[in-house]
This record gives sequence, structure tokens and C-alpha cells, in this order.
Amino acid sequence: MAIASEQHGGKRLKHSQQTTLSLSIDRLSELPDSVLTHILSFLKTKFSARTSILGQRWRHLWAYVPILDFRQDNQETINSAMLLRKVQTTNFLRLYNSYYYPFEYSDRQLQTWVTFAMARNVKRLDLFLHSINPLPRCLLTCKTLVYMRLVACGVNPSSGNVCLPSLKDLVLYCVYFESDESLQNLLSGCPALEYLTIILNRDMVYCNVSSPKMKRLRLEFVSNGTTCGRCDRLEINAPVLKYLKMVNSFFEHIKCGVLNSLIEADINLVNDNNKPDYLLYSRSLMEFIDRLRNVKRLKLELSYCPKFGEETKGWMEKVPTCVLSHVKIIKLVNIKGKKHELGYIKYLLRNAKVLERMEISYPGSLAWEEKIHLLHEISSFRRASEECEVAFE
Amino acid sequence: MAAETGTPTTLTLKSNDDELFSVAESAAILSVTIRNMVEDGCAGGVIPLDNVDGKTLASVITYMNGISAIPADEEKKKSYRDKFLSDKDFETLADMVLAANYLNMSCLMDAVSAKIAQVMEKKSVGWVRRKFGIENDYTPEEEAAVKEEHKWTFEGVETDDDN
Repeated sequence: MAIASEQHGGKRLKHSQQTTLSLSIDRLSELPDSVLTHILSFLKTKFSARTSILGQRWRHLWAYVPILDFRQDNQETINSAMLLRKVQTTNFLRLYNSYYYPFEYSDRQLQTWVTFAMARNVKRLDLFLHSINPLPRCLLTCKTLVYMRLVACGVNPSSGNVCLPSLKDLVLYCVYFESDESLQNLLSGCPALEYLTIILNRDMVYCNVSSPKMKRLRLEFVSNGTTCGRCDRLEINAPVLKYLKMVNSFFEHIKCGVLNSLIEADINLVNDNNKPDYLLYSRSLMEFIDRLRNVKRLKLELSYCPKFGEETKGWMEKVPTCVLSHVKIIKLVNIKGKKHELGYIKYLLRNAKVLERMEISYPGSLAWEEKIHLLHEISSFRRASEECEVAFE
Repeated sequence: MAAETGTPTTLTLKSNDDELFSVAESAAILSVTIRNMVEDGCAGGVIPLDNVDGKTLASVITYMNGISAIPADEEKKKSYRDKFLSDKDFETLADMVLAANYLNMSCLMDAVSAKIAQVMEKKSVGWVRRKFGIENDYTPEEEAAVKEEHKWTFEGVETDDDN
């Protein structure tokens, strides 16, 4: 960012000497161009373009903002803005379509916009389209792209050339895959990828997350209204992975290559009684947790459902002490004070040597006496870690 | 962070109205401008900051100290920034954005810019002119022409009588 010009500093002083009636001072217009375009870059393009009506000084400023941010805009707005631009780079393009009143964008139109941005060396792309139509193929060979977020976007092809050599950060949020191979195909073309977020709302049989430079991975299944997506087999090959977050991710089989670099894991299993084979999935995940030997910071958020409780009952008391020896945070959700729950809480507190915090939340429906009983019991357990605090929510 | 290796280094900053401020080097180097001076070895004495007045510099230093005390947690930093800017009037924000630009502090620059943009968003042209004291120097014909060219920008604007 350029250093503010002498001229502006001087001008400001003159103003404040001239008049004490701050009402008439146009502080905004006297900011340097670079600062004003930076401020305009935080506005949606439509609002930023409207500033051209403010006065001469503002006439073309917006057209130099290297960002195009369209949210719930129609084709006319998008085309007009692109036509009137004066700057030769577009660092960032965002297209948000409305879920309830989506505009119809033809495939051809979308391709024109993406090509426009690519020709201007787009680095960041954020598409939220609510369309299962295929994305323009050219997008998958964009050399300059560093960040890409696709939300509710069209079919990701299961084969064909993918070449995104600069892409470091990829977010796939409820993306429609042509097949299970689509994900693998996409990742194979992203050799520089470091951050990956996959949020799925549909079923997959086989989910292969393989990426040689990936440092952070978040894998989550969300409900698509009726059921939560699921996946039978997960395979992770990420030799330099440092951070892993899994939310509601239930897999029948989890296969992973060496995860020696993994130092932080955040495993969050929230109650889903609708899931028929809960038992099966939770078991595979627990076996997976057992393998996270180098994790220094493990956050477990486990909710309770009758089946799951029975299953975890045994498992919790078998969490290897080598895993427990480095767990710093444990979060337990929906604890009702059942005997087996108290059993594993006791076990965890007694064996987690460096535990800093155990967070226990109980359902609002729990009776007052039951709460008192729960708190009383848990606070009497011996803690291996002197530092450990137990928080009730 | 200056670790236990010794006493933390302190820098002395001088505003353009000759006020002196001392600030821990670890906090001050959030400013790339200051960091470069430190790295080039020209921060031994007093660092003159010719484009920042004392009132603004005091505020920026409060921010430097506050944000550098927060460990690497982007959410906490963001909530600190929001709180820090919440009571600032527009005059102060304009001073801060210029100071952040001069000092090359991208996190403060972004936060202040976003805050100013937030005030402008969805507001009518008339409202923005009144709020920021922007003079309309178009002739009526020019203004009509610019409006015609940008009529696609008028959807979703609040009405003009919301001053």
C-alpha cells in the first residue's frame, strides 16, 4: 500500500485551521485514491459503483477496485459492472445467487464471467450458485487461482484435465460431484493445496482425500433436510497433515496413510438418532482416534444417543493411555449422569495426564437434583492433571 | 514476543505534533513501516512519524498493544478489533485509516476500511453525501448522465429520507 501523500496530510491541516465547523469538511473525499479504493473493496460491487454519483472525485474510483462482489445480482448488473471496469486485474470474484429467488444464469453466461476473471488473473473465487449445472471447464485449469470456494455448485467432473497449480485453499460446500472419483480427480490437479474443507450433504461410497502438501483438513457431513450424508469408506493420504477436524463424519472403514505430522485433531460427533448404522460408524472412528499417536491437542466432542452410549462405554475406558497422555481438551456433550457416563469420565480424568480442560454439557431437561448429583460426583473424581479444570455448561 | 531472553525492547515514536510515545517493539512492528526501520537499524533514537498526529497515534498504539497481547486466535483478534472500533466516530476512523495506510498495518487498515464501508452500504447517494459532507460538484446534466449510466446500481437502496 502506498504511503499517504504529503499533499493530503498538508491539505488536512489547512482544513482544520480554516474551519472548526467539521460538518463542511469532506474527510472522505480527501483520502488518497489507494485508500478510497481499498474502502470500496469492502462493498458489494453494486454499492461501490453507486458511489460514482457522489461527485467528480468519485466518478471512476469504483472501476479501479480489483474486486468484483456480486450478491443476488441479475445478469444486467453483472454485465454492466464488468463492462465499465477500468482496472486490468480482478483479484477476487464472488457470485452469490439467492437460494429462494435465484436468478437464471445460462452456462454460457457463467463461462463468460469466469473467463473475464481468469483473463484478469483472478486469485480468489467464491461461487455460490444453487445450480447443479456443470461449472465451466476452463475454471479447472486456472493458473492464478489461490483460493476457491464452491458452494452448492454444479457437477464436478469425474475425469478430465484439472490443473490448478497455485491453489492453496479449497472449500467444497455441498458441491455436486458427478461421481466419487470427482473429488480424487479434482485434488490430483491441486499439487500446492494446503487447506481443504469438504462439507457434504449427500452420500458417497468412497471418499479419497489425498494431497501431498495438505496441512489442514476439515471433513463434515451436514443434513440436507431429511437425512445426513454418509460415506462408507474414507481414505486419507496426507503425510504432512497437521490439523484435522471431523464433524459428524461416520465411516464404516477409515484407511489412512501415515499421519505422523498430525498434532491437532478435533473430532465432533453430534447425536443423530436417524442414522441406522451409528454403531458401526462410531466404532471405526474410535479405532481411527486410537491411531492418532502424535496428536498433542485432541478435542473430542461426543454426544450421547442410547446406542452410541453403549458403544462408547467400552471404548472410552479403553482409550489407550498413550493417546490420553497428550490430550489437552475433552468436550463431552449431553451428559445425563448415567452410571457408565460417570464411569468413563472418571477413567478419563484419572488417566489424562496433561488435560487442561474438560467441558461437560448436560441437557436443559435435566432435573435440578440430577444436576447437583452429576456435579458432585464428577468434582470428587481424582484428576491426573493438576492443571485440569472441569467446566459444566 | 520478546521472550525471557532479556528485557523487552522499547521504541519511542514521535507524532507530527511532537508528542512522544514509548511502545514495546514487539507490538510496534505490527507496522511494516516501523518494522522496516527497525530492521534497517534506524530505530535507535526517536522514530518520527510525520503523517500521524498525537491523538491518532495514541489510539493506534492502544490497538497495537491490545492486538499483540492476543495469541494466534483469529476470532479473538477479530472481536478485539470490532470492540476497539465500535465507539470511534467517522473523523477518528478517517484519521486511523490514513495512519494505518502510512504505517502499513494491513489488519487495522482492513478493519477500519470495512467499518467505513459498512456505514455506506445500502445507503442512498444523498445520505452518504450528507453523512460525510461530500460536495456534489456535478452539473445537473452531468449528474443525470452518470445516474443513467449507473441505473443498474439502484436496486436495494434505502430511501433517501433516512438521515
